[in-house]
Amino acid sequence: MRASHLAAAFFVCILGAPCAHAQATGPFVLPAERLTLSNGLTLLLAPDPHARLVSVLVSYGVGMADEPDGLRGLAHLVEHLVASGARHAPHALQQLEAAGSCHVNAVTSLDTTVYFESVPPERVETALWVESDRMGYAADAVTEQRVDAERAIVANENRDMDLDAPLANVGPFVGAEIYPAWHPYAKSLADDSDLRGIRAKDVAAFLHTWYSPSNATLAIAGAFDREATLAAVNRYFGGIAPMAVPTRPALPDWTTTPVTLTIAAAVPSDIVQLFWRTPAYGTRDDAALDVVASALAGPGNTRLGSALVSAGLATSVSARQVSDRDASVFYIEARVAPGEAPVTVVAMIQRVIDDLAGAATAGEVERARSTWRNGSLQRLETTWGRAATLVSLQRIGAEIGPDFDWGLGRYASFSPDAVARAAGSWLTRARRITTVVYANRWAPGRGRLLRREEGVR
Amino acid sequence: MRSTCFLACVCLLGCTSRQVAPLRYAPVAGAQDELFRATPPPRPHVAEILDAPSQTWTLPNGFRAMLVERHDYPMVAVRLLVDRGAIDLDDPGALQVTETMHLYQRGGTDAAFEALRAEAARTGARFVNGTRYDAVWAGFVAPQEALESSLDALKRQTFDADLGVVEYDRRSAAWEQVARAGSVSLAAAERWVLFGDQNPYGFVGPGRDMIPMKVAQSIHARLFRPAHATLVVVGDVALDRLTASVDRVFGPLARSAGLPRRAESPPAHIGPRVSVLSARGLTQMHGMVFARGPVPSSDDMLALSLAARLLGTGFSSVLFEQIREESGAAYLVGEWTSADRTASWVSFGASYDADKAVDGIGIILAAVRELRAGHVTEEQIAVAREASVAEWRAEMATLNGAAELYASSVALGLDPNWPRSFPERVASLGRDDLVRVANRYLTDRALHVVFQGDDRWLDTDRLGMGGAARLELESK
Repeated sequence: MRASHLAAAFFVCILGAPCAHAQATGPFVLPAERLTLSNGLTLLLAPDPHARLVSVLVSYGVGMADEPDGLRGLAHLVEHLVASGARHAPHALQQLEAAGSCHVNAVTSLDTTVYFESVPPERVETALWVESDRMGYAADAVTEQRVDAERAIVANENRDMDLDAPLANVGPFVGAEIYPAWHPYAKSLADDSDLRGIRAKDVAAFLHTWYSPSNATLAIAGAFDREATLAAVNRYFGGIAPMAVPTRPALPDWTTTPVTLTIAAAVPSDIVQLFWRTPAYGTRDDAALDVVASALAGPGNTRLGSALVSAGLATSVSARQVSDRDASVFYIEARVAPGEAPVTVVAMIQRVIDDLAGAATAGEVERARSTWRNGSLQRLETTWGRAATLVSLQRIGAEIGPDFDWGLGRYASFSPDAVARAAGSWLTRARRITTVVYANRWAPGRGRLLRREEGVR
Repeated sequence: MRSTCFLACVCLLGCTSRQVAPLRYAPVAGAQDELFRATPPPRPHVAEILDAPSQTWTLPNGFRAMLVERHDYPMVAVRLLVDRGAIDLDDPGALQVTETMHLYQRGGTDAAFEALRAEAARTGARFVNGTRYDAVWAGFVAPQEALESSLDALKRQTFDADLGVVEYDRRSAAWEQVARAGSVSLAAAERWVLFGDQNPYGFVGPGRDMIPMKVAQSIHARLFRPAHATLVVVGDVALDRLTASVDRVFGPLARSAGLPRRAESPPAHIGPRVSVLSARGLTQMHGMVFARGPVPSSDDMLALSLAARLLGTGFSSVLFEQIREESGAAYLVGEWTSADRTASWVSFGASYDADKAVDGIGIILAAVRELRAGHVTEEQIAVAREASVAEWRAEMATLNGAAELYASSVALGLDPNWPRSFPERVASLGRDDLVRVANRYLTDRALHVVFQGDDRWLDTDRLGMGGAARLELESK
């Protein structure tokens, strides 16, 4: 049934009928397909004969949140080692490059580890060869020597991306307020002490625990022949034996206490940041809070843009819902205008949120929905964006098939009341973690905590 | 009492340890090998997908337009390029034009502009803008049905922008925040060394004082003239529709004489061979080797870009292999080639372990010498070509990326269809070309070095390039 729908869709395209596979204001029509190999590997396909590239993306259901204490940094180090090569493709990055790949990278987040590349349609087999080697044969290539070499590179990356940043400590400071110490998302202050202690046996154990086809999703999007690609996927991935992936411990609920952190950092201007713990990725309120973020500080005339930037209290403001498997964080950041008091900006932000919680207008909700929809359409122009979107939506149980809407309908049903209710339920003073960062060019690198004050302010 | 204490201890330990699944340390049987995996798949020839040649026309007022039609995705990417910039201006404010124009372009405060902008947000257009030394640009990516309203917004944002006092003050506040940071980027220091601070290319930092409002207005009036402008459109729109839209939106602009467009390359500036920007708050040491390149319209430009890629960009480059993979001295390793209409420059570098920076720079200098001596294999060149074309494919695969490439060609004074011929041009380059440009532009005498970080770690004498100058670059 599913396959016949797909074939019909292709037939129309090939005949040259209006295959406008995306109508910016109408439905986005690009068929997708979900299959499962016998070893448990989830396969997501989105063929498009008009595309210029094919993107191949493998996502493993494991990330930094799965690192045991004492081995912080392990997931990222494993990502580096796996990306750089496995048993048969020991120089995977170079081999992909020689095949004309672009967008080659790997990313480790709290819950997932993702490897991806885009290739010319003629070279898709090289990408499948490399990714299957990474999935099935990475542990065979792990040696103490390689771990030592990659550890040095990862330590450099940590310093480049994190430790040398003037606000590097803010994340751990805030994380400690949002998550209890037992929570997998709890952060430690950034340093390399755990990284130095990781050995090849730890890397192998991580791979043997989590890098199973049954814990992975392979997404392929772009200009590929479905039948030939399915055959290649079976050839390269079908023989990789599954492993039983452990069940994660059930986590109790917890509450956050309102706190204000005062920090000195070598930043150009005073900054205020407001954080709230919010519902997990894929829940209804998670999506509603995406709309809230756009209504508060998205493009166009927004509530915070008017109240802060147009009014001269701040020079910029942004808002975002950062969604993860077990919990999310909503945050707002504003750069305080010279001469203005950070506390005034914090108070104004909360007042604007409270106003939104009182009554969202149909116009701003429509604009916010439109922002999300159009942002998604721009992302879906690329095969890479399509592969990433497939994997992301598959994680929250989206029905991937011939009528797949690519998430564009996710925001369609929110009424102004629902948006206001989400803001009022989650973005309250009583749940808020606030940081006030005072600009001080002589402050120590990474930022220094000056004061921690509990309670609603 | 004792048991209570014990329980408390257990709870304390249990409560502070993160709740994660244990790792599987027990031996696992190795994956069954399959012989076909031992051989990499073949790499069939890639049939490049090329755009149809662009269609170009000029309005009576001198405004130019260029369309590359693509009808496989219902969006359009647009660049409005004003091909005059700081290098074409002589007055004192010109040095700041590249730093200020992007603020200015966000438009005035009048309600009509804000309303238009909100309308654009509603239709899904995403506006972008920026400055180069040789040009100022703004543009958008939008659903094709929003083309007309977005073109209206683009004109308001650029030609009609009216910088009022309130808006100027607001921008000044943002400017002051950046200026107060007082930091000078490594790239700015490179340009200062290569061009000097009396040339727009060498302008350092944001400046302590915001450009005066009247000067900003004057620069805007001189730059935003139809005779300087080219509209580049890539995407799902037919010629007749775009022609009508361009006539309606940009046709009424009054014709006026254009500013002369500078073509001569800036004179050589003899900056220090080795420089240091002290930044004791950094744990990393950033180090770059850099040199002037040819004018971008020269045939040497692409050859130098390919030579630089072979040395510094990508997983197969010499520097990635030697600095990152072999010594683990850096994560970020790369090469950056910059080109504006009258000058180009190339930089190789990394963000190093602080105590490995001088050795890392030594590796770069040695790699350049090897290339000059012709010690480069055909395989290395083939991979560099492949990677270069792969990057081109990635850009051309999106409407916005393609618009960027076409607009850059216009800004540089190249044939507007230059991006179409990129794979063919790259394929024509050989070993002799790369060695020749290395010996012309990357001589020992032409190379400079700059470090940024905690200078207590540095022993630059080991480079054999003379003493290091400590740069005290204050924003002007």
